[in-house]
Amino acid sequence: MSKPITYGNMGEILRINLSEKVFSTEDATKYYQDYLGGRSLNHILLFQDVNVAKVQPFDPENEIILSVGPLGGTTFPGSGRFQATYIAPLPYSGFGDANCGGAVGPEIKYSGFDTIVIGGKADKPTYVFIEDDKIEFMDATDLWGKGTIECTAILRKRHPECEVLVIGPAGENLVRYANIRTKLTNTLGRGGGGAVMGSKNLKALVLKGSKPVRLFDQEKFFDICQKIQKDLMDPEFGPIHSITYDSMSKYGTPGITRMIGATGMTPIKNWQECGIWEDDKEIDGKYLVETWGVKRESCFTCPVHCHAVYETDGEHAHRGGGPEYETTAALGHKCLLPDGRKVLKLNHLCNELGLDTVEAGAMISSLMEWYDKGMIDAEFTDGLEMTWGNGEAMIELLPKIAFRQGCGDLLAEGPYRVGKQLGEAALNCVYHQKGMCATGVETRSAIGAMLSFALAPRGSHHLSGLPTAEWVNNPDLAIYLTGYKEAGELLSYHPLAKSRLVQFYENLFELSDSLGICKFNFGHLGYWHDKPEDMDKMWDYLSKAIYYATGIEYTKEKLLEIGERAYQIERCIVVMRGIRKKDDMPNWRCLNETCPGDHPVNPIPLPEIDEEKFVKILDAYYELRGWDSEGIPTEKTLNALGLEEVAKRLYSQV
Amino acid sequence: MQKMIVVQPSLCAGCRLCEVVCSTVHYGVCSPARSNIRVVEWQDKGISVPFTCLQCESAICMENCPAKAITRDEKSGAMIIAEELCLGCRMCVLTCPFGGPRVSLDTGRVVKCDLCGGDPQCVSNCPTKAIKFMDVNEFIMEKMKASATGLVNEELKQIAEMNKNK
Repeated sequence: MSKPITYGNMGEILRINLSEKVFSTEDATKYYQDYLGGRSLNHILLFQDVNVAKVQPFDPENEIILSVGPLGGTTFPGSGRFQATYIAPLPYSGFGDANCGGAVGPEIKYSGFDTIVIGGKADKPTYVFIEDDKIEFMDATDLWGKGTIECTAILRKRHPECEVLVIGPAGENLVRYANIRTKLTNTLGRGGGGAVMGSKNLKALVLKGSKPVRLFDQEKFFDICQKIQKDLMDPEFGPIHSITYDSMSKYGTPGITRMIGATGMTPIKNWQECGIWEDDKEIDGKYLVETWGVKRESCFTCPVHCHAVYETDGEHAHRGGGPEYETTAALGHKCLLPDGRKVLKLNHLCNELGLDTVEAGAMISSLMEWYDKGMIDAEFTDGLEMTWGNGEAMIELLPKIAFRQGCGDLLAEGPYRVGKQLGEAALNCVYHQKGMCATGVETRSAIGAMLSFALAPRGSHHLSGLPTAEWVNNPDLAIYLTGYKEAGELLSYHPLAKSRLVQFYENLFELSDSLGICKFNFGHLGYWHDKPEDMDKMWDYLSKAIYYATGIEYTKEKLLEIGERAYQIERCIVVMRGIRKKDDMPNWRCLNETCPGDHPVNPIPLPEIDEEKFVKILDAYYELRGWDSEGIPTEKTLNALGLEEVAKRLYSQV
Repeated sequence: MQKMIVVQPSLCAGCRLCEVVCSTVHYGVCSPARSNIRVVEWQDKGISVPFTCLQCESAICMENCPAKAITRDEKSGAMIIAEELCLGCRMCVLTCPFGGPRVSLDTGRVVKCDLCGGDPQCVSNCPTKAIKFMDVNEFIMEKMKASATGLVNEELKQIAEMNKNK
């Protein structure tokens, strides 16, 4: 009997076992109704496959799960994303997930799969070459030690027109914040996925597929994709919506530095200051593009092309990709390094070495603060003076970390673990949640942001559910989303307003990551954020596009329920690894220090987080999610979402 | 017919929407491997070039086709392959110097860009206008103007300066 045609998705999960050098396939269609695909599917697969309470990141039993989603690889605007999930070495919560653009996601589908699950451990450096149904385990001894961009060039010469997912020396040497990269500008950035690949002796995944993605109603699907693209690029759509395209398409994420700095959101000097940094001219998006930009670079089918290719001159001359705002903030603002050429060089080094720029930046800015406060001396860093803005020292330090040479061996453990080793005062300088440092957001500047960063299962970051409506502060939208205008007030501690708001964005972001599309275009940035009707339009577009792609009907409510289900599984995983309410509390700095800085919107200095009021928000949030007072999802909650098996495993272990 | 698909690599962001649009409108699926326009990439350098059949005036593919399956469509100017006549001998593939015709993964016959009958969808959907369907003489004049600017740069600057001071 031939298999029925699957629309949108591809219908199969590929399982690769590196220890045995074997693979198998499994039906994926049973998951679509409740999980769509992508991130949501990853969660349930990780939960089913891996003993999530016990498996350590570098155990062969750990898996790296890569899933795309029903809209990936289609004409839908920004259909180049895919999600990776694994037990992670960086956050102490152990949860690892990362989302990446480029064109690897689509190529996974063109190879015939919704998902690739990689388990086991190869006996020597290996890369896996997937060409449709042919899966080969190739020797990667000659690639071991090489940079990610260099490897991409070699592998694309060996396998023309393939897509490459590759780790650098940092991953090989199990640096806890090693990333996984593709093309010049795209990364599975956070949590140390690169080290998980390294622990499996897996240097790269190389894909080349020729299978088509079929659509349930091809004509209507294409029609709606064209409408969405037109709206995303429309200069007259609405002020917030339209400035998003204007700024992102010209200057990319570094273009937002001063914009978000206005509320104090841009962190400076290892989160000791915030807001507008007078000296940041050279690392602001516009200057970067106008001075060193060569051209725009885009992920698969995305009209926004928020990435850049650049070329620098002088001592550190090179051609590279990026940098993102996260990188300029981490290596520039947080380290007080205003030199554009050096920040670009550091970005390029991180990319070649396969280091997460955010955690690498946090490691260095923590070192600088410790050095500044006399907690360490130059001996600690093999003679390098970690003074603020010492770009040359930073350039010397990164390869030491990636190859674990000298002090790099300790620094490869990341700021949380190094801080802990140095003592309480040093650890208090580390701006982390659950052991992973924050992305470029000063969370004292917005309480909803603080809540989403504090809760995020993988540690401190904006992609779990940073609530855009809070930052744009539109009362109509705040009421539409939560029933309370306080949801849009940056420093309001309204328990229901803030918890409802963050829950909404968390579920929405689960959704875009489960569809194989970019959350930048659907909730994370200012798109669809001028008025409630715009957001209705977004939902209408999404549910129609999913229906025309898959033939399965999803209402907005049903889609948000998929997001809810996915988030609950994430929570169960971290709860089973020991996460409780205390781990959802803001870090020491947020609770104990005010933050000085220059910005026109919020009070100066930003007050510390009010612990008592914050706990009230947490309690309201737990209730909303159906969790007990320690943040553990109740059996009733899980059963109502059809997660009986998850509940059974959770309650047999907690 | 003087219109052609003009490619400007400096504007191409490498999103490859052209590829999936082409496979969608021609074959009803999203599949770069089935697209008649392809984006050639140097991924490690951040360079991408969309490329397709150039619709040559004196078409080598047509001249070498033993089945006389290739003809010019007068309306669009495209060289068209009649599928029912194509032998799948691939002589056109061998003789074309540019990689214009390709072999269909599904039929084994040769297929190529047909300019969508005169309104190429890759062009109308390209978000960066890196590919344009334009009059070739207009394109030539654009290039000429860009080059000619070099000869009068000083003068242009002076005029701009004068206008600024007004």
